[in-house]
Amino acid sequence: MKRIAPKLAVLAAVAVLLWFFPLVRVTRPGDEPAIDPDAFDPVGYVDAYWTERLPKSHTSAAPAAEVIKALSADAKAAGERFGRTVGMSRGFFFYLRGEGTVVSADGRKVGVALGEGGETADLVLTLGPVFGNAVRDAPGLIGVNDFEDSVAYNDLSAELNRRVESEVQPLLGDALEPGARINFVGCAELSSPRAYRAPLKVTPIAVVLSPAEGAQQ
Amino acid sequence: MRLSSSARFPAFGLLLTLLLTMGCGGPAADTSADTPAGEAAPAAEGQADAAEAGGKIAVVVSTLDNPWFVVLAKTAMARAEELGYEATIFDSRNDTATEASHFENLLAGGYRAVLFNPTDADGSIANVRKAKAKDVPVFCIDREVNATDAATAQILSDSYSGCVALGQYFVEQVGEEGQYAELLGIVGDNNTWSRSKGFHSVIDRYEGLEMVAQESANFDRSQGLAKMESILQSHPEVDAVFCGNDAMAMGAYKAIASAGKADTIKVFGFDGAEDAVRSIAEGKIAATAMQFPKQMARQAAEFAHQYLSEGKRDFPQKIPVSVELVTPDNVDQYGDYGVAEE
Repeated sequence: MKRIAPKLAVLAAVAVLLWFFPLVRVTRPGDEPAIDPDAFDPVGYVDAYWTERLPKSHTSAAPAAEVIKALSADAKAAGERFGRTVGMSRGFFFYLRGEGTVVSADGRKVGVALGEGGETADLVLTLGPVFGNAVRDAPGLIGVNDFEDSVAYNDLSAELNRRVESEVQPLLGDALEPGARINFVGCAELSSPRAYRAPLKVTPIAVVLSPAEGAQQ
Repeated sequence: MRLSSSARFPAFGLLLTLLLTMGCGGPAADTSADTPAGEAAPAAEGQADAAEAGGKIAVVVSTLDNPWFVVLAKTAMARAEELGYEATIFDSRNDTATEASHFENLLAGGYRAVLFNPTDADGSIANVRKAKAKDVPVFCIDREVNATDAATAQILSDSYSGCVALGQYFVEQVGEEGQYAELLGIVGDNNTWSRSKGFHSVIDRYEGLEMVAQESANFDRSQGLAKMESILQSHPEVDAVFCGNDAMAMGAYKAIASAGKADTIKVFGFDGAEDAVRSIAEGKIAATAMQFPKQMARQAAEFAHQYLSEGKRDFPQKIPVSVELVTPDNVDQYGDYGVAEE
């Protein structure tokens, strides 16, 4: 009995210790914080990117007329010369800038004849919902390795697309008329060289408009 | 939960120390995992001393219950063997504990590299770090781990973009109004959410498209069948189902066909599995998105070879692999888990 007492005392002490410092802790739903303070904030990221980094890159965009000419001749060669491939892909992203004349505008797309004239659209600036990664990936300023996981990287794409819809597309709204002069910067994507169809569809990320000659100011 | 102050129990510190020295404490922190593998006196930037090819390479795959992953694992093994290594496949059975056990065994067994398809984006990180601590490079295939300092490189399907394209095609086929269901994959896998978010980035723009059910079938064919049977009972008017992989899509299609609704409910999958591509050609499944498991698996094996035999160290951390939409219009271009020419 005398030899058992110390063992019982140790066991009791261990039991008390485990009560206060359990080896397993049960977490109930609701115990975890509702908001992860370290979570990526795509809106905040895009606020800075959209107003600072992206505008500075406009001058590095390829001349649209050269890209269109190259695509018409050999889409694969044009992609290799002017495009950007992300990871392992058969496709290309294009970052373009140009000026021209609006030849059509129907609320869903704006046809642009590049240069000083022409009546046929060399490319189309698309309006409406923006999907995909062209706006994120074409300028080449943001890489997948900048992010811990792909979820944040993809959230960024969605926020950039929203920014195009809310800040750029309204500039190409109902008042736009054929004959207006336009300066633009935009992004385009080809899933593969064989997917190219003229006129190239471009998502505008910056536009400056001048009224058509003789139009009411 | 509030912890009592140890000051009220002065003997606890002593007891705790005693217990820890007896081995009852938690696992020791693995600080060596913070030391980048292969950075000790490299011969040149991005290069280490080259070693001989040969030895053992492990292929650890999330599950072999899905034919797509069988192709992934066997292609990785075959390419490793072509490059002069002895390769072994380990099946994690979608279980992180099994996966951890495989890592313990392969690290003890002298494997020189791991071609790894993780089971869980967060839960698999520790296994990768253990390998890194032993200078065993890990190359993730298809699925990522949520860390950029653990794996040597990660070759990942661009699931989000693939599902954006799939979502746009879904709207073309189903229209801008209707009811649909969604079968999700494993909730702990980033691919599950990349696919779902890519799809919803399109679908949610159309208010007339109503999601009446969203359930996880864990990327599993039989669960896809069971979940779809249940959905059909509660929502018999559903117009379409979007499935996070082809295994679930094939299970869902079986349930739909059994209910006599194969002509009215459109099924959309993801993966580019052989049976799904064949099903599109036969006019059963509406569309899938082709991943390229063979391409990814071969690339991972080649990266491991470059690491082990050429001393290459400057791998990009993440390499997205594009995913291509497969529809009845272009299905003839695809087959055998890739483009038809492969």
